[in-house]
Amino acid sequence: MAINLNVKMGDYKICEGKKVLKSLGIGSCIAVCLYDKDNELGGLGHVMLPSNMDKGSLKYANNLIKCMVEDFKERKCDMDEIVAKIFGGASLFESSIEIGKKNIISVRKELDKYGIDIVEEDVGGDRGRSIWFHCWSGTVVVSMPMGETKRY
Amino acid sequence: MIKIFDEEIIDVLKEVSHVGAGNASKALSKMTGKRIEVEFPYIKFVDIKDISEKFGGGSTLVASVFLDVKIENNDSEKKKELGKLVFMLDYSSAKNLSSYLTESESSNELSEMEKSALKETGNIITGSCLTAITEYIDVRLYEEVPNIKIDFLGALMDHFILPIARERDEALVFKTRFNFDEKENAYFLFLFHPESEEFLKNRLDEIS
Repeated sequence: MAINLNVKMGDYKICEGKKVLKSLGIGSCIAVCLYDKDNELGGLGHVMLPSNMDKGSLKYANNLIKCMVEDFKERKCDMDEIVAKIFGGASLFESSIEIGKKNIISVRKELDKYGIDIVEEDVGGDRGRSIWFHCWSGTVVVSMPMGETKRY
Repeated sequence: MIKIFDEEIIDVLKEVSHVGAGNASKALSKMTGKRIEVEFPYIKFVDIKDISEKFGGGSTLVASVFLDVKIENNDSEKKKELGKLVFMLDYSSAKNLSSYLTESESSNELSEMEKSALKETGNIITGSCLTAITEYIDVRLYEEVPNIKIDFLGALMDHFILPIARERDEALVFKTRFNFDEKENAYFLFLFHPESEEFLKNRLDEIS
């Protein structure tokens, strides 16, 4: 039985081996899953807000992704081998603020900055998502509010 | 992190919220014909990152009726945000309450009629709470049209909380729980907008 670890918004965790990282009930936030196949290492970052230049807080896409990338580098990972899967960025309601959409743009831009390819994604829409990231295989299980489940 | 509310003000808000919750439970009992218990309200600053956990976990399926409340501002045309009123039920409780209200057979999904019955219930509850606030602090409040949504609790919280997350790490949350038929439960939440904190503080200082 794999160990389940919860990743709160504005935080990230990196694990190796038989561990599951989860973020439950993601709305306009984005779960950024980074996977290093060679080392069977997985990292999950729970982005709250679009990039912001002023502050070092992990609430923001740029700061959180930067920290994750540095953490992978410290673990001697080959950054060319790391791939990303991203989930979330929903807009539950029509709103002028559109945090979900801005989060998607910020996350794509930041990953591109570090040369990380997005190999799978399920973003946007008007419903929440719960996600479970299997660190050993890179598989992500996504469940939607009325029950349907997909694997990426 | 700016925290302009001291203990004294929190106590006043507690008192107001207790009156509001009492009003709401009376209205709800009258509407449903069931005995409804209201737990003593809880009001405190909660770390935004922990908010979903405090209400039963991010992946809980809930039905939520909510609306924006604004304060009339004498100085300008623009209304100030007071906050969001949220009435939230576990999905199974929402099903039971709505099929009871509409006297319909329970199916897995909520019908449009059931949704509108829930919206009406939410409206009654939020209305009774607003009356208590209005009477206490003597301000004119505007309620926007209520919305209803069935989704994960965490996803709804993202929608309520993220717009203030840039300015704040904590949100002032007022929560009370309604118990009916022993097993059903519903939450009522008031999330104060940062814009309203100073206004409320000044207003309450004037009164006390």
